Amino acid sequence: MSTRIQIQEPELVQQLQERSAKAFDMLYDSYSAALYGVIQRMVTDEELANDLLQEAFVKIWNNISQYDSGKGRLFTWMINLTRNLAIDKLRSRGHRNSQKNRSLDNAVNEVDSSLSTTFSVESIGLKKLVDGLKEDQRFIIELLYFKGYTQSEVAEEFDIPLGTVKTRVRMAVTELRKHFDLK
Amino acid sequence: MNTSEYIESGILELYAIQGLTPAEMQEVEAMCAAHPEVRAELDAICASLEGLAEVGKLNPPPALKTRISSQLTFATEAPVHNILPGETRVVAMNSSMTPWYAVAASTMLLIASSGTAYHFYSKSQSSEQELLAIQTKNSVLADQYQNVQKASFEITEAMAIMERADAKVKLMPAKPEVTMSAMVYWDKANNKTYIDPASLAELEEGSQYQLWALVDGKPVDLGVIAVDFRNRPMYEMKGVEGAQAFAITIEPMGGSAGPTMEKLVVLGKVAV
Repeated sequence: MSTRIQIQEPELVQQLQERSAKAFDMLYDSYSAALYGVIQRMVTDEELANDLLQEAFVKIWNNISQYDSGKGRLFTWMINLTRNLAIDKLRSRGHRNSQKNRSLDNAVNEVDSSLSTTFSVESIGLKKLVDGLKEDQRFIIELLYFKGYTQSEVAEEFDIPLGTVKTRVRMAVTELRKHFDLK
Repeated sequence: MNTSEYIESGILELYAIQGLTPAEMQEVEAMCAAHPEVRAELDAICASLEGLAEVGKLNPPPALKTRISSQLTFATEAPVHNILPGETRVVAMNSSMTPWYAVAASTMLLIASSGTAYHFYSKSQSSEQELLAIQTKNSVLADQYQNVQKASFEITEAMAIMERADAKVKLMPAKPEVTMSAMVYWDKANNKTYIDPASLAELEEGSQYQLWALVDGKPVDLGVIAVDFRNRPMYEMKGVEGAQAFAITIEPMGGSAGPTMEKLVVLGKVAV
């Protein structure tokens, strides 16, 4: 995979910790499109997606000191942080839907965040890639990675043995790895 | 279980997509720390998920970048000046509206720094270390000067906003136990809304104030109020048309799509 930023990660992290405006520019320009793509697959509402991207960058900015390079790359940390925010939002919205006859927020447009296996946004590359997965693998990745299900929730709700969930995740990720020419 | 069995169990993939409990995650982290081959496998898995994000790239709306950076606090990059004896320095002020006290304060800072510099410089021209001390002190003064200038600029801005606003709405406590207030300045002609949040209470970590307008009985999100809201006299929020009232709620970091009514703190009606 190509390195997307001109400076090395440790240096970028250092500059982020120093709250340099230049570092924010670099971070945003390098990663915002990838993070936005992830968000758009998780929530369908554009305004919510915009808010989530904002929330993600604010959190990345404020919590950069919590990033531990010993556990993985910055990009992975950022993706996971972003996914977690979106997952929280999906869950809290579900929560709010269930008690909707209370207040002002009835009037606020609720997004249909219900489970959907159709992707709201698909680039050609992504479509090809995901099409390369078997249906059951695709389903598992979609649920766990993009909808924030836990493995036991998947097992329970879709009546799949826990061991099978694990196997499918492994096979799906293995399939994905073939596409990225990793050495 | 040996490491290859461990790798094949699928637990690393679950770790990467965050499908594990905290205890299971710790176990994976311990395995990774102990076995480089497990670590390498996990890195490859994470890289493939990064690849998934990479091919799914989608450009966010261009305006979003400015909106996001306005929510962040940046370090002020103070230039380090080398002031040598005899050198005079002309400082351009931002505008003719800079108040006199900023000019006076900055002039005093500069005189003080030049004086200090000269004193040290003449005392020991040969000592590089002392020169370094001067430079440090000087950059501290430059910092202070910048802060004074920034504050005066913000005050001037805030005064201009107050003057331009068509409606000034004082937000008062929504419940007896709330003791704070805030002021909304609504510039209808330019479709701009500002807030002076000075008397809002500090929030605990993870929460943020969010401003709402009530338009025809419906709440309209005007954005979250910056976490460091005590640092400036006035913050620009989203614009709104036809607001009948403004309200502030406490929401989770980043704000909510709709107001949490139990966390309504202050509100105020627009005078007709």
